[in-house]
Amino acid sequence: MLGMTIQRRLFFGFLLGPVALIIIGWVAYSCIQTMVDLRVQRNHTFAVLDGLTAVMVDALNAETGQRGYTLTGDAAYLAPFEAGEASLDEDITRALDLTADDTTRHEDILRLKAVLQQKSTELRRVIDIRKTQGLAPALAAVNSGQGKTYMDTARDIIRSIRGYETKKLGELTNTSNQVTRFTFNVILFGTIAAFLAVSIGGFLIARSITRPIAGTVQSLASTATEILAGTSQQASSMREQSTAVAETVTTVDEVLQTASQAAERAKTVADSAMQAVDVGATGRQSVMNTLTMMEEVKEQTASIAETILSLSERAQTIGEIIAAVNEITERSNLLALNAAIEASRAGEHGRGFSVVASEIKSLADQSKKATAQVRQILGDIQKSTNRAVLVTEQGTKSVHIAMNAANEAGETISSLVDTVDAAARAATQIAASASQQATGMSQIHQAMTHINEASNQNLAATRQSEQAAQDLHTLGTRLKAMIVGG
Amino acid sequence: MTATGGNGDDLAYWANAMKRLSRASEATQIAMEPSGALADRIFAERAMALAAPIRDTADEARLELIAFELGRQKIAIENRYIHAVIPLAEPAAVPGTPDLLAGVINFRGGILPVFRLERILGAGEIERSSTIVLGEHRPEFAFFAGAVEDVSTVGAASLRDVAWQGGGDAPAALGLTDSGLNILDGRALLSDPRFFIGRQGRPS
Repeated sequence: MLGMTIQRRLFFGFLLGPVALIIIGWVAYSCIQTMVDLRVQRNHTFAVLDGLTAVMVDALNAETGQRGYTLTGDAAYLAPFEAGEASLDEDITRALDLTADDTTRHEDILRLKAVLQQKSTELRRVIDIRKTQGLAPALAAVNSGQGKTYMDTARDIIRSIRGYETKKLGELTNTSNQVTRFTFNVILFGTIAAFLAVSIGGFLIARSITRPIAGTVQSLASTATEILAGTSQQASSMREQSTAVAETVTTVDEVLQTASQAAERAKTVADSAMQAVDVGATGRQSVMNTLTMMEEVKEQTASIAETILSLSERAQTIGEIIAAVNEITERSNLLALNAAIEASRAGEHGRGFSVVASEIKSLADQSKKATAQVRQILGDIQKSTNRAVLVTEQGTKSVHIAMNAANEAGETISSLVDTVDAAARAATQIAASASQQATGMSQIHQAMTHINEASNQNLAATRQSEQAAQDLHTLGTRLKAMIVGG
Repeated sequence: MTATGGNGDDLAYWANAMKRLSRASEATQIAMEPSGALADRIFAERAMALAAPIRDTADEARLELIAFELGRQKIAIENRYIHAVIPLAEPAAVPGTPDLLAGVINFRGGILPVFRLERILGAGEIERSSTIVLGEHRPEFAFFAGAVEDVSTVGAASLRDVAWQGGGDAPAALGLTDSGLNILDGRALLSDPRFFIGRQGRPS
């Protein structure tokens, strides 16, 4: 059972009832057929008995009419005799036909026919005697007992046949009753048994079908729920995808425009880069000129420094001269002072010399002041010279730094020129790439449009799938309710 | 250097520098070789100064002084007691002599003691720039001094007879001038026994 398909199970389930009905019907049919046969046989027996009765009645009527005529002589009493004689052959023939299947009874009927023919002959003879000879002879003929012998033999034969037929009828009746009870039992208990078998079989088949189907339906319902959720999510995703694709199409449009603009700008950049290459070459030449001029400035600065150093050395010489002058002044001052002392010591004679000494001292003091001023100025000059040397040194360093910077600028410009040259080539390639990109973006735009259409179609299909999943879910729920209830 | 503002600024800066250099050269040239008018003016001023009449002060007692710096003090001594003023000389130390004696120097072929006058006058450390030789008729001793001024005269009557205003143990003072100049007594200074060194190196 477990290995059979549901179709086979249902087939055998539905086949179980008809088989039971066929069995019961066949048994009942057989029983009824038997009962019909028994009924035919009983009818046949009844017909035989009726035929025997009719034969006996004919015999009795013929005997009764013969006796009435004999006694009365009235021909009217011959009517029963005539009627009996008239139907006796027919009844005998019918009895022979009815017993054709039974040799013993057929032979008994033949013997009865012969007896009754002899009885009929006896009766006719008596009647003739009555007609012709009157009553007494007729009575004497009757009293001979021949007729009675025939009649008794006929009665014995009929009694024998009737006994046999009656016994047979009883057997047929018993058999018929048994068959009837059997048929009743078959119908009753067979129906009950078939009902029980069909019910149990149907229950088992239904259970063997509904259990896996219920599980399958449960799984189907779960799967349908999951499919519904999946299709709903898919539908949502498809809507989002459709929206995203639409946005992407818009973006692609913008990018397409941007790519076109980028191509134009890249071309402009390429042209500008080529101009920049020319400008860079000019700049590199300018830097080289600057370096040359800076070299000259460096040499001139060195010359200035040398000149200033020479000035400083000359100033140092002046300082030495001033020191000598100052020494001379000091000594002149002392000499003047001593002259004044000596003049004072000389008294009145030294007064004029005192004036000269005082004048000499005054000159010495002025000279001292002048040398002091010159020394201060020389100190200032020395400071300025030192500052100038420092500034010149700083200028030299600045020139050196400037030359380094110019060198770096030259290298930078060279590198920039190379870079700009590379950028110009790259910009040209970018322009070509941007053009190709614009073409590609156009193709992408068409592809995205197709994708958008396909996405919309997919969205519609997904909605249909969602509806189908919903229907499937409903169907699963309904099927589950149909199978397991609830 | 401010000539960094551009080409125009550079030109202006260097034009100004050239003008300044030209003016300095001209001034130097003028100072080195004064023109005729300037030389005439200088000579006229000098002649006027030399032609000034000498004021007769014979009827007035006057003192001829030589002022000099001695540390924080400014002191004057009569001219007649100062034999000479010589450049600063490095004395040769004499062992076994008091600390007042700085040493001896060669003065015009003779040995002359040099004292630290500031020790007596309490002048502290002084800046030595000259050596003053004392002596009325012959050099007696010398001492270190700072800057020495010219010979000046003051009226004897104008001196204020006040005690020695400086510190230390001064021999004697003649007075104080109107300008606040302390005048040492040269005679007393020359006769001060502290400036005489005996055989054992002690003042005699």
